[in-house]
Amino acid sequence: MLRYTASRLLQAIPTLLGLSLLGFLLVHAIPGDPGRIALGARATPSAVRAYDAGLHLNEPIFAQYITFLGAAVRLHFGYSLGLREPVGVAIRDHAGPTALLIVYSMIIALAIAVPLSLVVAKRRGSLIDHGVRGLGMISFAMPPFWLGLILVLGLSVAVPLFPVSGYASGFTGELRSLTLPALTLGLLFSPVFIRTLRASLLEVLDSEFVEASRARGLSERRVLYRHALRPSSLPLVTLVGLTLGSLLSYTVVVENVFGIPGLGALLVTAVTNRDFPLVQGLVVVLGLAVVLINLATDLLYGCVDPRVRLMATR
Amino acid sequence: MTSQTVALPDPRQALVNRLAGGRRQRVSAPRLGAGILAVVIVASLTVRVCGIVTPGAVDLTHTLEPPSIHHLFGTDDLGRDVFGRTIYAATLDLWLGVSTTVGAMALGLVIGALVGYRGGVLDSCVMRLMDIILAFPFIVFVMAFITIYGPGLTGIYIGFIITGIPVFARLARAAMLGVREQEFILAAETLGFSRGRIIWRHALPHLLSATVVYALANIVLNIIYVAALSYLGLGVQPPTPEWGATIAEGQQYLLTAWWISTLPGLFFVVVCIAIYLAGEGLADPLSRRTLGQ
Repeated sequence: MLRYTASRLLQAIPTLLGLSLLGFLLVHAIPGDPGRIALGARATPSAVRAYDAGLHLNEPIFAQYITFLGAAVRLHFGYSLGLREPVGVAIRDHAGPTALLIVYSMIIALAIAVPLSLVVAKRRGSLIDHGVRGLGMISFAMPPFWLGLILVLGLSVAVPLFPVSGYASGFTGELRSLTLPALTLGLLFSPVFIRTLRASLLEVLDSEFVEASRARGLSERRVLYRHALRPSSLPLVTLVGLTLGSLLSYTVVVENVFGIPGLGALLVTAVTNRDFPLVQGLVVVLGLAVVLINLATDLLYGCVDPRVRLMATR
Repeated sequence: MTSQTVALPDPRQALVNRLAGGRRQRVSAPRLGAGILAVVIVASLTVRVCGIVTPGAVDLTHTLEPPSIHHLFGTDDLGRDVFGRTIYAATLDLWLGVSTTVGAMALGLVIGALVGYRGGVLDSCVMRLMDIILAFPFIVFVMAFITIYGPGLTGIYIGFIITGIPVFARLARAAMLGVREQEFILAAETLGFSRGRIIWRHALPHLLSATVVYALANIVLNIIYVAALSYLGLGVQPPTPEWGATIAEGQQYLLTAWWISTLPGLFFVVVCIAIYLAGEGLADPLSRRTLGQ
């Protein structure tokens, strides 16, 4: 397990370095003078120079990168241009709703996917099976912001169950505000889970130990729930990690549909205002989050399934 | 596979097959998709070229009118015909999806073919770089480019093409590893053809079929994300008609004039499903032509 953990950690290092390089180069790729953009056209040249010196832009580029790396490790990304507060503070204040939304939508996606894939795997080739697959295809063709609006029309206008938008305080208020966004994401992502779980269930149901439990006279229900479900749900662990990147992309959009004050809303404001220190901080933090969670799922997978860590270290 | 439909004895089974898009149906579902797509493209081009729809035509005497025979999707707050704008926008949205995909596909194919053929250190370095891009939340990456170039299409083109490359490069490389071992490549090498000629003329056609199916899915993905960015105000700028921007404009009237956002969105979903269905038709004959099958 130690060797497996070490090899996974080592593999993450180039990715993290690439990520930091990308965040670093972002400021340098902006045409024109960052100080000029930040301070506006009327700023004096000396003020612009002083601003650039504050960003260490007058130093050699390699030294700049090292400085950036040192600051990024402590999550210091300078001051946001629009918010007039440190980027780290702004990100911390907006991280909560996003994290809650992601967890909530994962739970909804799994709550839809697990029972449905059990039904679908039991009745392979039936009308339900094909129907679920068809719905899956439709969900791939569905823009998340539009589905969000449809859910608003259905569940907060026609039947006033949930708020149209905005973010209430208190845990129950937060959950109520996050239900429609989480449902949007959950509906869009459950087909991916269903497809994977269905495939692995079918594979496990064909295996010899399932045959053996059937031969021992166990009921089909018991075979399915007690013997087949657990080994089949292993690929889901990896999938949850892999989906996170695209889930985060969709979260950025969905947060803005429902007015959730999370990192996605912050990112859109930052990009609209060309608030590059804030964009830089968000790029690095969001990328870091995805890489770390993928690493965690990899390790978790190694924990759950010994075959994986044996194969990886061989 | 024949295109004739065989008369089925059991009507329930026929229904299952029809809904399923199963074996018997493979032939007509892609045709349906391609048909819808063709109608939309022709209509959109006609509307543009012949000037039937003026997307900016404001009519303040007919604002926020519900769908009727004159205005199929109703009118918006400025009295503009929502259906006309939706049709008009189809070429732009499809073009953005297709062009970004084709750009990424071309670059990804070349990169994947090259490193797959040569192997070695270059191969592992380039594929590592691809992994880094792939590890990134896609929309954040694109938005970084929009920050650099400002809201609009430049950042979208560059961001979508760069983020699209890794998957194509991976697919092309994987296919190249198989093709490289084939006898006709050995024959070409024996004949003393240059590396460029072998990759370009002999191997690339086989790699193409390995990536085309993913390309269609990628087109849909890119259309959705370009629309999402326009919805957020970072892509195509109003008053240019675009699906995402139209849906965003209608959102503030969701409670009083539901049609402005919902009907263009429905149109959008139908077009995307049509692309998927058309793609299924391509997947079948191509996969049979792919080497090693």
